[in-house]
Amino acid sequence: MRNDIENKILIPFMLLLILSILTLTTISIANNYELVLASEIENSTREIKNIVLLMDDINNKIHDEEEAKEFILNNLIESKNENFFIISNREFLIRSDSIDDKSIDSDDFLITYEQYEKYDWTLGYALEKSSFFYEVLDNEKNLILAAIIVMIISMQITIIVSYNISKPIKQLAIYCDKIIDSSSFQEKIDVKRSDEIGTLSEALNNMIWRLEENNERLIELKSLSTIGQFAAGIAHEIRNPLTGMKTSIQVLKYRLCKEDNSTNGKLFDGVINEIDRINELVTGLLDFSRPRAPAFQETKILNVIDKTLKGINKASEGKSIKIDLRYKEDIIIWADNSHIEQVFLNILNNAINSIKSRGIINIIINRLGNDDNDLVEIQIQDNGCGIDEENLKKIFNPFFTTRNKGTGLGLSIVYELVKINKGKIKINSILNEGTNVIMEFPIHGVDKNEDKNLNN
Amino acid sequence: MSKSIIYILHFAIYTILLLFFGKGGFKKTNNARDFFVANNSFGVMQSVFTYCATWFSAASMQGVTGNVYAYGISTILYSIAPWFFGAILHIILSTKLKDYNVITVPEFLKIRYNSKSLQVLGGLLVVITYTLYIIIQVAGFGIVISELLNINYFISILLIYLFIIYTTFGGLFSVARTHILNLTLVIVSIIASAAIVLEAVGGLEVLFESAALINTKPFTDFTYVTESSGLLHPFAKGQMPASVIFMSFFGWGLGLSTNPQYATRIISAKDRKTAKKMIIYSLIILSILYFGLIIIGLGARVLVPTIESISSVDEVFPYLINNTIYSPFSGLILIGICAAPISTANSQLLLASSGFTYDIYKNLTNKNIGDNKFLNINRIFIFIVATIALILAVEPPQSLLEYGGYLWGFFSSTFLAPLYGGLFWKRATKQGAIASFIAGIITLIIFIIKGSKYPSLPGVIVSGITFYIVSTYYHHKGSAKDEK
Repeated sequence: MRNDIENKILIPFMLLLILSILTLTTISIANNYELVLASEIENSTREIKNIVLLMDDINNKIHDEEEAKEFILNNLIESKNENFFIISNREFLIRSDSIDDKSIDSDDFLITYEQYEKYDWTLGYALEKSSFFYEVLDNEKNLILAAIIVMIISMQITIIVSYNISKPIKQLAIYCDKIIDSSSFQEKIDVKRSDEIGTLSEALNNMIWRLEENNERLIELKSLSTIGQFAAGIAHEIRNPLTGMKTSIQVLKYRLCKEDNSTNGKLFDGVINEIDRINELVTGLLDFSRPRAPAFQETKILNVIDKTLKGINKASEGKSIKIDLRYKEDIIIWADNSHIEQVFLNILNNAINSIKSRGIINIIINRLGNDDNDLVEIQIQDNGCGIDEENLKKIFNPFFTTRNKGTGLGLSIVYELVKINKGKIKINSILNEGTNVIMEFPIHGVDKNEDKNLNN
Repeated sequence: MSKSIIYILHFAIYTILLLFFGKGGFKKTNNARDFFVANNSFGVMQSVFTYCATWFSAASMQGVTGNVYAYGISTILYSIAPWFFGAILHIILSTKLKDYNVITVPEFLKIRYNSKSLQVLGGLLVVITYTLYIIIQVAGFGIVISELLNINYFISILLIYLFIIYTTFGGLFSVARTHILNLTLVIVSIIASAAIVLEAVGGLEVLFESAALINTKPFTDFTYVTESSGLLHPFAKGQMPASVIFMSFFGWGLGLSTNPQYATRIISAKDRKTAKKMIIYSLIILSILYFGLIIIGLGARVLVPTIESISSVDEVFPYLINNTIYSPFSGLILIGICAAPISTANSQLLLASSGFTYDIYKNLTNKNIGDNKFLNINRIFIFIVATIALILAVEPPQSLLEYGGYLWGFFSSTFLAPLYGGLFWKRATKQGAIASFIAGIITLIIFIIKGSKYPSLPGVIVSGITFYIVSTYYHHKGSAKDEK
């Protein structure tokens, strides 16, 4: 028999039940036994009294003692009371059926007696105690039946209750056993209960959810570092010849195209532009793979945002995008100024790109947390095209892009830069409704003298 | 100490044993396959026990002894031989049925004939017939127990009600574990009573010699007087004519061969070999048990040629142990008599439940219900069926007991042709199966209403013929279509 929950609940419970039933039965039997005993004593005493009266009566009528004795004995033997006896000088004059010389002293019999002093007789009743016991037991039949019924029902209920406890635990165990690789995370535990097991399964589900998240991040980081090393290797090799090519082409243009509007000049410009784009990509790659170690300094967020916004004004105006900046105080963070600028630039560029025409971008700066552990939360919300769920997962992956012209490095760089500046970044998005980028940085200080509003 | 208190104490010990054996199924059961056929896991031993225990009902324990008492050894030809004939058909059934990965017999019909409605029809029949059957078991148990324990009749049917619900809730795992206990008790009690009877009579030889001399009425208000040497006559000197015996092959034999309670045992066996061994070994055990019952029945007649205080053959065995051969073993034997209907009723309750939940509910709604939910529905249905049986058994309608005798006829008139035909005849078609099912049941009901004593004979014949004709017709039609 396995020592499982069912048995651990069932065995003590049933033992208790059987014990209480036995106690109840014993008490009930003992009580009834006493009652029967008392009434038997009363009965036999009354019987003996009657016989004594009868003997007195006969004594009065028959004067010869021997004759009277014989008459009495004959009379009593005839009346055939099987439990009645008379002893005179340790000898039975009338012997009851069940009793003999030895058993008269034993405890098995209930003896009621009275001396009849006139004859020196002992009149008595001997009743076997066990016969009352069986009589009493017969009356306990209903109790035993009730006990049987109660036992079946409580056994059934106990089994159901313990099953309800052990089954979900077993399910959890089976579930945990099934987790072998990342694909097993898809399945969630389906135990909906309000008790501790429910809490346990919820906690397990949460744990698995976090495991899944971390697992994904781990895989991502692994691929990032591979790509990073690869990219850095290539980038160097490409940049050097590119510089040479660009210089040579500029020299060629200078030599061959004296007139401003010559077609050759446009071609050269195109080539130079393309080389610049390659250069940009390569720089991005290098930034991403080996970002410059941050030069931590006091960085006023509003200054950085201001600077960034100046840089992108052109693009946003072309699409009639309104940029709304909301803040209560200027907050200073301890970070690399240029890194933060790059982060804002990349995010805002994405936001602008996501808006086809007409739109709004909100930049919200909020202070979070208490004084000891202050954080600033910067949200950049747009009402652009949004990102679907599938793509949202890959948004920080390098080279992942949905635009034809994008390099797919913007947000990867953002992610890296935020991270090395001790910040956190999260992106929420709903397709066709917009995107919200939320960043957190530790606060270094607050500049209370700043203007309260600065709208663009 | 009075007899009834001794019986009750025995009964209390039996209850504790039954509770112990019946537990454990609950936690082992995870899905429908576990619940109904114990995940097809039974080895030979377990299969033999559950097959025999399901088989051995009050009809064997009390019916056979009582009939032997009244009619003598012609009972062998009247009931035991047809049953064994049905069991031999089970061997044939077992060779093919294991090819289909099914849980119930109606599900086999669905898969073989590709017909959902056939499964629903089968499920419906299973639910109705088994519910009626359970009422009979419950009432039979109640009569014996209330008399011997000298308790209220309702309390005694309440007891079997609780027993069968308790064991059935755990599914076949629980039911089969209690079958080990119950069959053991049945075997012990038959051997003990046969030994006591033989001792009282003075040996086997004396038994037959004295039985041949008996020429009294078995009960005071019995119609026939047993002729001298009639007890040992194969046809009871005309009281059991050959025609009656021939008919009983249709009623009992073919009924047993198609009764889903046995087919389910074939399904729950581990493999084909196990199923075959199960039937063969079971028949050996059952032969020994029936031999014991014949000794008890004949011995009772020799010991008391006419019992005045009873009127039905089913009361002979209980009367015998309570009066004629009362001994310290009587309590044990009584428990054996109780164990027989319990172990049959819980098998049937489980089947009734499968008929509703698996063959009708799940089949029709076609829902992918979760295992836990499905098992809970089963337990609720088991509770409902058992409660209906309990309520109806309080005052069993006379008609019900009368029709109870025809219950097996329902199986042979409906399942026989589609089941065996479907397994062994390639040209059997869906239309043939449905037509034979309906034709069989209608014929049976007509003959029951008309008051025929043997309605299963026309039922089986009509259903068989319909099956053949309709199947052949549609098969030709089907192949003609294919040729085009």
